[in-house]
Amino acid sequence: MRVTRYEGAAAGAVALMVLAFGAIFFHAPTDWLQGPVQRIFYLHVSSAIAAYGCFAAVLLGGLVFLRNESYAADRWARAGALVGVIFTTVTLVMGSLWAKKVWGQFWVWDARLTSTLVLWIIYSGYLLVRRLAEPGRQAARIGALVGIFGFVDVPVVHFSVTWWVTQHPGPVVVNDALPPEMLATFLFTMLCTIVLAAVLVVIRYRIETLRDAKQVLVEPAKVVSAHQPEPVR
Amino acid sequence: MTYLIIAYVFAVGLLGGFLVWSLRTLRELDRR
Repeated sequence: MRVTRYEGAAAGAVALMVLAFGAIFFHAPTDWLQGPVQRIFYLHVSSAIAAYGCFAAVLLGGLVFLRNESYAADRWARAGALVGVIFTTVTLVMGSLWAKKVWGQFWVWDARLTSTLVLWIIYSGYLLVRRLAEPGRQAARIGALVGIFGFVDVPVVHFSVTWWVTQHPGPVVVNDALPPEMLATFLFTMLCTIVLAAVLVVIRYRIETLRDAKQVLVEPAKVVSAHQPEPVR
Repeated sequence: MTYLIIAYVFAVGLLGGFLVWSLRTLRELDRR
């Protein structure tokens, strides 16, 4: 069985993630205050950053579609939305498990957690709209608008810990709050997670392209029926 | 330790499952 370039890229991304897990569990020191559970931090934060990147693809795809009616841009947006929702799910679930251990509860309605949940709902809604709407120009336009306005929540999520008082901790990376080994492990994990997200988006883009091509082949009658003949008098 | 293990098992399961599902879907679409 021939290995495609997509499968090769996926294997490379998985290998990088294995190395990242090695760094998380064997290189990074154990946090003296929280203990081993602090290791959730590395993938929890990296997944959030990867999700931001995916939602930026939805924003750019939407803007390009509205400007040029480029269906390739719309496909990038669809691919970014799905991968972004997956990474946001990882962020939310890992964060909740970490919270249970250090706060004693899975969830608090503070600004960071709530705005992240809203982000997940916005892009899940985007996917639902694209799933239920008849494929075509109208669905792509609605999707582009949801994707563009939905992105407003990304800076809200990111800056929520500085704009409001939250139970969620503030930024640790930019405040030099991490020892060098932890910082190196975090940066390496973030790089590997971004590569994995990029590979997933490219694979989903290829899937959307093939599905769109199939749609055109299977449903030509709909295009024809859009031009109703003049009634005979 | 339990929460750490559950968190990473979940992440690996979701991301790995999504990757495998995407590659299988792509292979099926390419075959057609």
